Amino acid sequence: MVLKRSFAGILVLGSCGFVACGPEEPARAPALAFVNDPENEHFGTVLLTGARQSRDWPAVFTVRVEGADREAPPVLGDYIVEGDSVRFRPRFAFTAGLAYRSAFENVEITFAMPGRDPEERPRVEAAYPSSAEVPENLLRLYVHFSHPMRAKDVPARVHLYDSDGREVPLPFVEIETGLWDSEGKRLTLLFHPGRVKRGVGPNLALGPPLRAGFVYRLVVDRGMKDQRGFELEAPFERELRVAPPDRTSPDPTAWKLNRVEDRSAPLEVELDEPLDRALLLRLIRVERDGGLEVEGVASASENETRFLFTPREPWSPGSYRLFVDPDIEDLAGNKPGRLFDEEIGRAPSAAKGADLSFEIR
Amino acid sequence: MRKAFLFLALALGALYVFSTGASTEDGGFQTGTPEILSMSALAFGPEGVLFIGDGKGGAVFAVDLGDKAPNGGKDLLTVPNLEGKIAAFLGTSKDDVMIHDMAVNPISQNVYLAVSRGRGQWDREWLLPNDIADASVLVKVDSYGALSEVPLKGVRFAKAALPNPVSPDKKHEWKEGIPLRTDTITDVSYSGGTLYVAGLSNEEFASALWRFSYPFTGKAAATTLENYHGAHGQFETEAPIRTFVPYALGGKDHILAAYLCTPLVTFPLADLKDGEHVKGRTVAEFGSGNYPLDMLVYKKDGQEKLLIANSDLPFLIVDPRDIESYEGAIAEPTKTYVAGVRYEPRSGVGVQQMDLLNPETILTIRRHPGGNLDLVSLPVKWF
Repeated sequence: MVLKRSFAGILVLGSCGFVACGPEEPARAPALAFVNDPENEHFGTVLLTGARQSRDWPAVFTVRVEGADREAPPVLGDYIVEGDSVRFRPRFAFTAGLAYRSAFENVEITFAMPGRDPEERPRVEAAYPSSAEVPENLLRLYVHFSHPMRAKDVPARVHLYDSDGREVPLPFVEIETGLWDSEGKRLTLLFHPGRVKRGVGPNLALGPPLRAGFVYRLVVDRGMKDQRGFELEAPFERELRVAPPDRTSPDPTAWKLNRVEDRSAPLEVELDEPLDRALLLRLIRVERDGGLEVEGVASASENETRFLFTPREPWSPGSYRLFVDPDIEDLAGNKPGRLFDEEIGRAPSAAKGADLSFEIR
Repeated sequence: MRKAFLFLALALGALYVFSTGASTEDGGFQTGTPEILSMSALAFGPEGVLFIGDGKGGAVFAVDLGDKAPNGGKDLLTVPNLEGKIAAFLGTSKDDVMIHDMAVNPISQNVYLAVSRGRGQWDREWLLPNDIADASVLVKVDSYGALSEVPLKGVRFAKAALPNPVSPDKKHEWKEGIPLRTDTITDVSYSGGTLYVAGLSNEEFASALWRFSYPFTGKAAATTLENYHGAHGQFETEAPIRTFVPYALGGKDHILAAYLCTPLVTFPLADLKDGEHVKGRTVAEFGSGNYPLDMLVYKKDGQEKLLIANSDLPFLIVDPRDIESYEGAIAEPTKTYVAGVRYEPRSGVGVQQMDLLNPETILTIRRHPGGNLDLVSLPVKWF
């Protein structure tokens, strides 16, 4: 017999419903009910009413975990006799997400503890690059979670599958605890540089992890847990359509700075190609002509082909400069003036930053 | 006259008992509910008395379980999915229960387990169950493999406090957020009228071994310990003994103790004087990155052997004669992680608890590759 929980937090029913078990009935048939503790949804007791004589209660009135080992004893707890009813109070609180079955003679009820509140569960909020199309020599993926996650779940819970559904072996640098930001909310998946870089051992032996023309899926299992032990609300999946490798450096001198019309509006910069989001947000700064750094918030849009900088205080008229750090990278790890993997025989060049000026009128 | 004398004696006796409370019974026994805060370690004493080391409470308890029906059987005891059964017993799923220690009553061959809920909190390397939660339920597994609770209410028990256990305020140096108090009692063992308790004191040199005469007389002897750890290349005074056995080497009583990362150290009992600080002799290094979890002595073909169960190594078997004939001590950094007395590795990874079920059977709690944690008997003849 299936139990339903009422909103009042009580709930029900054994061999008879409420109607048949009215107080006017002289000899009540035994009934079982799960009674919630109004203070805490995971606490509660099981109430047996209508049992006519005292017994060895643990032997005849049992509560078991549904689906548990068949040879396991019933749940440990205390039996409290209250007049003609007996209350079972478990030694430990019932566990969220588990179902229980209580039995007395031929009466049986099941009741389920609510799972973790879905609103509290962690979820993947975003993954970068945003674009579904990525170069064959993509260097990093970023997965942003809503809550601080357990660092060590990464190798077992994050997978890359090819178009045939086969898991790509060892696509990412294996770090037992993952590459996390200090909050534990942003996971960096670094494609194995030795497989991305042409002509080095792992690349020759295993090939690049991604191949142009194919479609891959990045999957984060639902079983990935946050630091509180809650699993993801839902598994996360992202399709990656792989384009030919990107072997050109980003060129900040080709970026287009849009004119700021409204003084509280962001400065918008159209980039020449999608850039690595984490580096983009960290490695560009805005200065006033005299060298004073402008405080504000950096963001990106249009699949990381657009950089936005919103000043904390409205812009003042004058001359400004946008400094681009030479370590900024595109999706394939190419820096301005320096490729991630130069052709053999070509001396590597130094990466070059840039310094772009603009005016606020 | 004679009757009157008897009456007087009884009256005086009653007065004596009444005036000094229940603790006047031999060895400080009383009947009631022992206030045990954590069942950190278990060991059997004489006549079915279970010793419970309470690290959090800083005390040891002797509990008369009344479990004295002899069982001279040689049957193997096996309980598949022990963890799943304990989980169902505690009303939860098996990823949330822990077994802190196991002890077999040598009279009845019933198995006793200190268990808790809370394994879900175990999120890092190098923690042990006592670091995660306090064991609060004593579970008995009988010879049929049936589980039941041993209620510790209205039982006959005696209590002895540890002198100067490590302060609850002290934090572990490299286990972030873990109080040292979780290592107050790491192992207990009874031999020849003495209960030995290993753990951490509040002394400058924290590693300690306490000795209580049993029945308890109220006074404990405390010695702080030091050993040279070749794999770490230093003397250690902070790391507690993880597991030990009292054992006679060359006719003299010793403590054979194993430590984290795995030195084996011997202490002559005669050196362990109350209030003193004693340096042990390191006779072997079995390898870093390993907790020795349990140690016992078994006898095969008339020869005793030392068996060590480990967190990260297989079973290690040591012949005590090799310790007796080992001259000198490890007192310099070891180039490799292994040094000193030879040992024999034996298949048996994942063994978390171990005790003798009977002289011919070693009982283990073992995590199998499929993930189940089982109670498994291993005949001594296999070793």
